[in-house]
Amino acid sequence: MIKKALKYISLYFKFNLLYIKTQLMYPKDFIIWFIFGSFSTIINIFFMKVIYYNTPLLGNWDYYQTLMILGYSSTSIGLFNIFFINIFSLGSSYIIEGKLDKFLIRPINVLFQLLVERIDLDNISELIIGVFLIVYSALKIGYEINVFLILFSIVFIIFSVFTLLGLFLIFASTNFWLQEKINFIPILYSLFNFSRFPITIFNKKIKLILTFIMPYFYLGYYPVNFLLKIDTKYVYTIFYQPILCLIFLTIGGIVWKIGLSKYESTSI
Amino acid sequence: MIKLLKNKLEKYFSIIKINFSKVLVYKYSFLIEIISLLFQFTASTYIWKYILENSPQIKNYSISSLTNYLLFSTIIKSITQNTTSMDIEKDIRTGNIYNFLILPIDYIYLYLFRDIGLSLGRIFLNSWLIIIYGVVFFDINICFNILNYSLFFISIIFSIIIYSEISILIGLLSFWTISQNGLRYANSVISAFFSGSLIPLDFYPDILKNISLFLPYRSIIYLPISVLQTNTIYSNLFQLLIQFLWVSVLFFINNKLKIKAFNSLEIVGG
Repeated sequence: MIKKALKYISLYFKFNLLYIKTQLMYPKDFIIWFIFGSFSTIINIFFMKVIYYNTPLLGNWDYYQTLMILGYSSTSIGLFNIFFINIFSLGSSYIIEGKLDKFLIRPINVLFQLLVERIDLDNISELIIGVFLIVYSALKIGYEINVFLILFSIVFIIFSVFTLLGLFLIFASTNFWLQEKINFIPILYSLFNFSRFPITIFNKKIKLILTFIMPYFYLGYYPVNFLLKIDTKYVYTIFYQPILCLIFLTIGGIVWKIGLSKYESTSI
Repeated sequence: MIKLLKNKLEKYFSIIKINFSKVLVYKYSFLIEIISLLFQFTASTYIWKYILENSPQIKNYSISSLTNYLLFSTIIKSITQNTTSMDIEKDIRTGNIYNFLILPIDYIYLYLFRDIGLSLGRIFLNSWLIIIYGVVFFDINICFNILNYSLFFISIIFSIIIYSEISILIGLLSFWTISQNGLRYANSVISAFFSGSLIPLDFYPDILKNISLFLPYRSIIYLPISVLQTNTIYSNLFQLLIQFLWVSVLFFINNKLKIKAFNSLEIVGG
């Protein structure tokens, strides 16, 4: 067991190195990516500025508190993009072009190979800005940065990243049946828009759906609300997250397994 | 003379026609595009509805006119999307551009008319769905004013051309940078912000508003919708004139760039 884990860890670094080498083929482009990778987050900060230019409070939340939500959500999204972005191309390239074949003939876990083939280091800039936003807004609000905050953030950000992994796995695996006809992943990406704002502005249906069915509010709102305790009604909702994480990972794993057994190579 | 012109136009019309029907073939993937745009629309509508409910009127926008604005911006966004810069980059990287150079078609026109065809197809496929969504879930009243709508249509054609020209410009830049993911990404993000696709530019602080005046992105979404929402004909024509100016400026830059690029073209292998 330990031997197997060690093997996978060493493989992980080898695959990483391989991918970094291919990336350095276009050094100029890599640098441009590194700079512009953070652009979407910066634009989101601008957008937040524009919102608060027109209103002092957004559902009881002021500018820095909302900025903290943005920080948490971009940290989670950044981490997710760095490690698991390859799920994005499962439907659009691996299944249609039959690229999955090469994974199936190797004696390593297929999902592991899929996730490891692309480690998106460009998104590190988004991660850095996310962490910076958390620290900056915490300082501005006057929230003391202590061990509890750090541990809490790490644990719950990891939970959100893995919940996202489960969710994305479920929808990406549908491509085993649907082939290239429908790819749901862009929809999942567009839902990130909801994770950046206090949820009190949305109606009840959206709140329920994005809390339990598509757990996007856990990326930013619930952890920050637990720390700052602004909407007392939702302070402890964050503790559903470990359960949801487990449920989504299990369902994702099962759907992936069934889908993989249905996989038919399309090439040649 | 007339025959020559007719021949020339026929070529480009058939490019438009081919791409128009392409949209209908890949209708599922376009459907997914629309749904993800509608989620964005829903999120931003809720935010601005909340803000406007607390302070009823900001910068001459009421709740209904703002929802209208966001709906039409969603439509224009869904129409103008293209993959042109990616395709041009691929042509250059793989040396495939050689196939187009021997055709009796101008390389820039080829992509321009392709985008127009795809976008016209999307107008027929997408805009109805988006309007129905808006009418059902958010109370949107679309008042019919034929003059405004016909000007709006012309304006949309201009914005399709402008966005396509910007994409071609970025694509052509990859003659010098080889791979241009970063530039493309930066362009998409900046255009999302400065075109006024998230909210009307009137809501921006003055500095950002002034910056937007000097960028072509403003003509893609903000100007067409203000053509629709203002009723004075002179200001409408003035907005159309600005768009036309951008069309010609970008066209001029693209042509210069194309000539420069093709003179230094090197195809490895081929």
